[in-house]
Amino acid sequence: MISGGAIIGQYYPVGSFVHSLDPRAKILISVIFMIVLFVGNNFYAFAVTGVFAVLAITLSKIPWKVLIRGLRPIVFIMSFTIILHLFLTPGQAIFEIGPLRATWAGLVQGMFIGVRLIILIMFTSLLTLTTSPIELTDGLEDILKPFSRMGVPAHEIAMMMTIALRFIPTLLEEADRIMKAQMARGADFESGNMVQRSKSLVPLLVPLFVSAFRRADDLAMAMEARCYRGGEGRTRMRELNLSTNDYFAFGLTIVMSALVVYTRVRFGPVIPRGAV
Amino acid sequence: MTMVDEAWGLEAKRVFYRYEVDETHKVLALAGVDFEVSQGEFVVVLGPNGSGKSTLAKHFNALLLPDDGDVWIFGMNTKDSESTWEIRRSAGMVFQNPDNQLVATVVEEDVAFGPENLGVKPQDIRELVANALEAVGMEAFNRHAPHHLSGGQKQRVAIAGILAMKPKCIILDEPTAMLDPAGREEVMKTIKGLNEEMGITIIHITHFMDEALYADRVIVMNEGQIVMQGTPKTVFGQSHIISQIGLDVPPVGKLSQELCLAGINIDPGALTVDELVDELCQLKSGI
Amino acid sequence: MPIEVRNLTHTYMQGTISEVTAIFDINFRIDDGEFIGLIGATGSGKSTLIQHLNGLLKPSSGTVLVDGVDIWSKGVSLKKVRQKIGLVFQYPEQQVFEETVYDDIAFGPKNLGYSQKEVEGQVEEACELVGLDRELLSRSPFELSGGQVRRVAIAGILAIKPKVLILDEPTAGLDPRGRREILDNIKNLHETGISVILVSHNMDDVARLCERIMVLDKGKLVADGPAREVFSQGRFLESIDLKPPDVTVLMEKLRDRGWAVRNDVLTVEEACAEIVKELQRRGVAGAI
Repeated sequence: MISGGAIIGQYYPVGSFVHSLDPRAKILISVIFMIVLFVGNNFYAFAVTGVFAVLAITLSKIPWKVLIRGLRPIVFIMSFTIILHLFLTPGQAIFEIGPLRATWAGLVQGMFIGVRLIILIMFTSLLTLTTSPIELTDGLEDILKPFSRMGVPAHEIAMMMTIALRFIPTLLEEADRIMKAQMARGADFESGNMVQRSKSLVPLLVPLFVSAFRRADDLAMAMEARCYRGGEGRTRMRELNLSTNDYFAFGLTIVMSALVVYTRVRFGPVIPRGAV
Repeated sequence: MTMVDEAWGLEAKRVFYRYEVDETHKVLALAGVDFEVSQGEFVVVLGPNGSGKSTLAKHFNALLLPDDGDVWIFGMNTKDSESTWEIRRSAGMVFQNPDNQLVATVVEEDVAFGPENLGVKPQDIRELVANALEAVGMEAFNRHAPHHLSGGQKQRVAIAGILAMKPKCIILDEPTAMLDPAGREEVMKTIKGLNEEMGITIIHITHFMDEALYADRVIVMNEGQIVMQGTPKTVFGQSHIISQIGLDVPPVGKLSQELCLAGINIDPGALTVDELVDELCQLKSGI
Repeated sequence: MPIEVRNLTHTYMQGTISEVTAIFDINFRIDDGEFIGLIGATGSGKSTLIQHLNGLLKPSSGTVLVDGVDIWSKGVSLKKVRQKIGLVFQYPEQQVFEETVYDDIAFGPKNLGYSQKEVEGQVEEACELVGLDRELLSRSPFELSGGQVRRVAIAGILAIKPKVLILDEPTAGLDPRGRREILDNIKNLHETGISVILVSHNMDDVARLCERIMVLDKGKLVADGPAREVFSQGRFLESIDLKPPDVTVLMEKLRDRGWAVRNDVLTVEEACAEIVKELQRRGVAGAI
């Protein structure tokens, strides 16, 4: 009935330097950051990217609490990766459990991957936390536009994202209502084994799909009635303009990238080849 | 010819339309409809389910084209594909389900959708959107998400979305069917205001008999044809035809008619509470 | 099958910033065979309240007793409760999913473990109650008209043989004939002995059909009594964004102008008789 609560990575509306940046700048910086993060192959690189991330987070005024909460879903994957590396990397043993041998090299390697994941998740979630869905789609559409000559449907992708965002809450509410309506007819969504449970979803999914198709039909007609005919000749109310802040952010990003490349050349990988 | 000529108004000439139920089966939805609306009129179309009123509405927006006959919108024939966009701009359409016609996640973005499609300059869109939202009294909600609005508010946003295209006429296809009484009143007052203050032609399709009281002219459809038209008074005065096709006379209208039958000397066409109260009180002072 | 609600409060998203209390400290009792109209502006908590009566929502505090038993106490089967108390949601046609009308109506009784023979009997009975043509049973529900599918959906609840039937806006979106037919069905159902709770925005319908009216405003039960009594409080109803039936408003306005008419009339016929009587008393009608 009432959808809400803070969803991880959901737009966090406070005014800040990062919020005010052009969405295209934020998308591009995020992409560059991801690449740089994987170019960096030692802990010095992390020092650079880490400082950059901390700076961005501080400037965004997003509480650390929110960002740390966002890490929760990946705790399992992270521990799994670390353990995997710990045991599967050859090298000098720390301890042994049966046939499994934990190594120093594995520990370093595991920690390295773990830190990389944490920085990655924190920084990229900053993009969705500081950019409203509309800005995000606008930005994406604009970035993809040059590729539309190569057949990338930039406008269509953005329109699909907008419509999806618009209808997610509506469909969630609808799913809740249909589920209750079927429960009023004795349907049981909670007990039984896997097969029974997936079968019990039919009375929920069929009406939900029927309704979604009807909505799509209605919406298509309403869009047509409002003179929609694709991206051709269309203008936008919201104009994207790069400001000095955006150039400043780009500048910082370039400096950060250069430093990371330097650490790679100067110090080499965290575990030098042949060190084990 | 793609020029809006206001003097023309809207016109349907002997319109026939069949739709396919399945491959072998076709149903006649419109059976020779002749219909004229002049600029500035407020017309309400009544009719039971399946009487063809929605089909007719879609003809006015070039969403459907007649199998036979012609539909002229401000001097443009809907069959002329070059005029399609100008027809849709000048005769905008609002639909029944308030959820299924809002495109964007923010009210003002949604209202901007029409002008954006028309390629209006960004600066001008801002102004169109602000004016449209103000006209429907939703300016305070410009940054809200549509799914947090009430049904009546969503419909007003949908109306604003049409207004932003500067139409001459708005066709509303059962816009109140899914609303509560408060929402219905909001919508009716809004469109009445647009009609009176901005001179916008209104064609309002509805199941609610009391909404016909807002109209200059009521059209009653049944089985793909227009069976009656006139002022609300004359239409509801023919209560036998109204009930024959499964419609209703509003309660106060019914009461006026019953009082007349009981031998009370009042106007049987009184349809609103205030009208009937005045009639009855006049009666008293007349003695 | 008496239903008793004691100190019922429901808060959505409890413990979060978006916490909303939808209904607050509600108390009432419904006895067998009653015909109740539940009215209130949108957002007054009607939907939340009715979903408690068959255990679709769990009270934040307070209890719901069906047949004297707290439905949330240990050992009570909610399925059984939902069988006794049928709830027809708004736009119920949106819940149909089976390939044939028969299968869809049979969904409820099958879930509740009736034998095939019993299911057949109950489906037929339900069809009869809502006036659904038997020929439609083998058709796909998706081919039917709006009014017909709605009756299929209502039959789907009736087929589980509830003792109490709750309907949330059963006539929403229908044309006048469809509305009348559904309301006639409901009236007939009530006459078979089922208790009915009708949630509606249409005051004329509620005034015409229901014996007892419960009024919700901002989550509180602000009035509960015979229809005549509740609807005679025109000013009060208007103050909580409800529009009393037109005939009631008319009588109120005539009283303002010094007419000695009752303000608790509910139907056109009653209003007509009352006005004629007053005119005769004044010697006007006699003069005609």
